[in-house]
Amino acid sequence: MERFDAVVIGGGAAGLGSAYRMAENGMNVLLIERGENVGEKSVYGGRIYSWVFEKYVKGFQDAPVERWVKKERLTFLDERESVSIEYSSDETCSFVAILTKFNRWLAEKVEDAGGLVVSGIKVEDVRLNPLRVVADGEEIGCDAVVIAEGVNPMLAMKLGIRSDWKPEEVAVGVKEVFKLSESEVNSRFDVESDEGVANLFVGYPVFTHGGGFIYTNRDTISVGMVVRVDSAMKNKIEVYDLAEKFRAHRDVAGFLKGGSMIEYSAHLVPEAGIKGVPDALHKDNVMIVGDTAGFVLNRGFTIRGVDFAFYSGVLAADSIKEAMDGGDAGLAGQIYERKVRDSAIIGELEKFRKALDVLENTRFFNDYTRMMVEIMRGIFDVKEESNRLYDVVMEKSRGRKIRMALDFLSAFRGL
Amino acid sequence: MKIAVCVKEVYNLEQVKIIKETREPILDVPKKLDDLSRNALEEAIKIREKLGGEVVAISAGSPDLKKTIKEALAMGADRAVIVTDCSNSTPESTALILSKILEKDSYDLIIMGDASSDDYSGQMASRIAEILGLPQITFVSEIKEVSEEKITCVRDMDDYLEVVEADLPCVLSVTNEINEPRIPALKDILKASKKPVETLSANDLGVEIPQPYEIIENLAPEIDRRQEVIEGDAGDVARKLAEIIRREA
Repeated sequence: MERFDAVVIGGGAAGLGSAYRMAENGMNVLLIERGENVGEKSVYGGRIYSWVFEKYVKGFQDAPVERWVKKERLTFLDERESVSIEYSSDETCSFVAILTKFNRWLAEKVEDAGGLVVSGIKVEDVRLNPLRVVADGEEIGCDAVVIAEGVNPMLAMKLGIRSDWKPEEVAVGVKEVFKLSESEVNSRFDVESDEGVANLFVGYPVFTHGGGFIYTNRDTISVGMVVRVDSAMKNKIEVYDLAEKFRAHRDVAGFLKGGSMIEYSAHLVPEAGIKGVPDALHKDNVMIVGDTAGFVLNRGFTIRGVDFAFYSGVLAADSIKEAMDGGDAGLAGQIYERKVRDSAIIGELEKFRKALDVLENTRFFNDYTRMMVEIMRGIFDVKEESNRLYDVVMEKSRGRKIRMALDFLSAFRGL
Repeated sequence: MKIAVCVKEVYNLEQVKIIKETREPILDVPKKLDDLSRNALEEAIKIREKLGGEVVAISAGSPDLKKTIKEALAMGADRAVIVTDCSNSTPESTALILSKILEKDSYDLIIMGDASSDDYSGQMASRIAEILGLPQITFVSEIKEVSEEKITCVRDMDDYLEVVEADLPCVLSVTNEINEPRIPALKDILKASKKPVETLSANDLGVEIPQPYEIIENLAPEIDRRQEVIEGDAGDVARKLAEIIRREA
């Protein structure tokens, strides 16, 4: 039987983070990926917060970054109009990347550091006492297992570490990539070649839990739509139809004009925040990381997943090392549990626990989005006569001022 | 029996996307071992299983080879020799490079795919046989007999089959009918990571790579799709469809 210090299951950001850290620490690590190539099953919107890679990955400056986000735009859409808020800065904390390419690069870093990466192999089972991973009819022995299998927690469920997602805990996202040219992207989004835009959309065509997004890659743009599964079921909406409507909206279509769709993908996204994180993140020396553990934070205008995924992988790796160095490898699971609970991952998810209640409130996605657009129309619509801001706001908020005040107060506190 | 298998890395064509409007391919995709290289390897491994000996995978290409060559080792090659600084080299310089490597050892058999799925120039076997002064059997669809001294092969000549015998050492190029290449299991892949890979540069071998040929245009073929939608109930649709097929067949 082959033996490794640790086996990592899954070649997304979480698994790669774990394998990279262990390889860097001189441990004998094997990463097994189900897809033909490492990282190709990963799907996300398009943006990665860079801090964790700057902190942990040597040579990060050579990473395949498409553009650094210098413009953040939040757009409220109704059927024909829109209101956008834009924040623009030379400082940046995130970049747009093509995740499959970024993962491929990370996998090379793992191999350069001495880790073994194997793809096209499905792990069938993880067995305890003694700890083994079963794949391809072979058993591989190890001191610790890191499950980074993504949002579909087959193995984690089998081991009883976590339960499956409920419809209100996950969203379904679709994403399309359109090919333009680098100069077209620059001119359509008014950016330089190394600058990028992250644009989130609220309102049309979902008007409930979910929204749209556009991210600028170097010479392509990623456009998509996310909607929470329970809302999609309740309102009988197909996310594909939504994506199509979204693409056709006048404020989106302009960015895509003449572009050729070169990629289409769909995926589930954990959306339950801290409520999606199971009570225990390990069983014996088997640990769960990334999406499997529910480490995604959506607070309306920012969505974090890849940085938490990678970071949780690093924490698992450090826990295994600490346990081995301490002479009892079997303690890794417990150490990981403590490290994650003390880390910024759980800290942030806890901090934004209330954000879940705010985002639960569909009035933000529908009534207030429409109102925002109507108020803007009211003050900019100048004919023979024009409207006072005060009158417009009073008219549009008639009969719902108290509820609105409460909602906005909760949003102000929660997000 | 010492067998060299010349293998080639190619773009994973299944993943290449075509921009519809301009018909340009997007080649930013992972590479893999060419299908016919797998057939060649499979045949070499079968011979080793029968007669014993060693199978050496040899390849010239880009730095990506360090990764792609692992597929050959996982399939069962015992070791590999790769040259990683000759992407886009011409068939002529590739043949020179491979021959330099082959000269260093005395191989009984040199096997390769009949052509690669990317450029499909199909020159390698003949060029190498000529440079090394060895007999060659091309388009091999079956090896009937092989011993330490001799080999008997069936050549697929499209319209007829030819049975050819040659003394070893000899160069073979195989077609995809020759076998069904094995898919490596996890234990083979793990074993492969410990097998030796010798990495060389064209310079080490004293081969100068001339300016590769210039690619003037690389476009997907134009496909004329009618995209006609026939509407109506099932009977109507079937009748109209039959009519079109009858008219245009």
